[in-house]
Amino acid sequence: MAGGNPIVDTLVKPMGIYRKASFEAVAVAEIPVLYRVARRLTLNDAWAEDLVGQTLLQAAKAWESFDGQFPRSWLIRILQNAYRHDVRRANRRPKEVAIEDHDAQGEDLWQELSGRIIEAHIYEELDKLPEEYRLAVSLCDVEELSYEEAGEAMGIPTGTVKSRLFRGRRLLRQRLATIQLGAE
Amino acid sequence: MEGLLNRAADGSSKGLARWYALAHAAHCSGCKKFLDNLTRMIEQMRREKQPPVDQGAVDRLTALVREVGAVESATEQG
Repeated sequence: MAGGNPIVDTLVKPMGIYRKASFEAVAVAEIPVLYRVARRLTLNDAWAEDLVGQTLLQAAKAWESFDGQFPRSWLIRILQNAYRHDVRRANRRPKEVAIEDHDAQGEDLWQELSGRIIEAHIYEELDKLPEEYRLAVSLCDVEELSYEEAGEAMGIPTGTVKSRLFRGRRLLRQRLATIQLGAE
Repeated sequence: MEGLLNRAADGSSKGLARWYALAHAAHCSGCKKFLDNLTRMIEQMRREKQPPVDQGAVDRLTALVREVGAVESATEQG
């Protein structure tokens, strides 16, 4: 999975000589990722932009105390906290659709999905997943964070990232299989 | 097996774990379909990152970051 620079990750960081980039350079580079994650959390363009703005302001204030490792995860974690704060304060939450999770061995899981169905509906169905699964799939599969980075971003252990990710993918595949069955 | 196949599909497993998942899938048609479909789904998400990012929003947020940076610099110098 595409994490950071492999040389930095394997040699430089363990030697303790990792040098933190400037806030502006990091923040500007991460805006598209933050926006997509915010949009996936809020399901709303204006709210997503507002959330990224809040995140960047909070990150700028906290930049001096940040250790410089996993900046993307760090920013996403701030964003997620800001989102939770918004939800609590305004008691607003994106509308989620209740979906059932079947046994992993269910026949729907194993049937072949047509590429056409997947391409047309994948993001639409991803946005319908419960938040914890939507975020795990979004971070690991769309934004290509490693399990470790996603764990840092969500503030959960790597094992929990995997279980949410695998279950989220399973739910997504079930949704896509259901659509395909309906189309046939 | 589902976990091993998930990790093989997203490329996070290496060495023996990856070899075992692929070797199993080569002889098990159900797991092979599962692995192929999952790999295709993940590749699709990585290739076409959605939703598209609104360039106007990016420009406004970039301006915000630069403004904050300018204020911080002025504070440090002053």
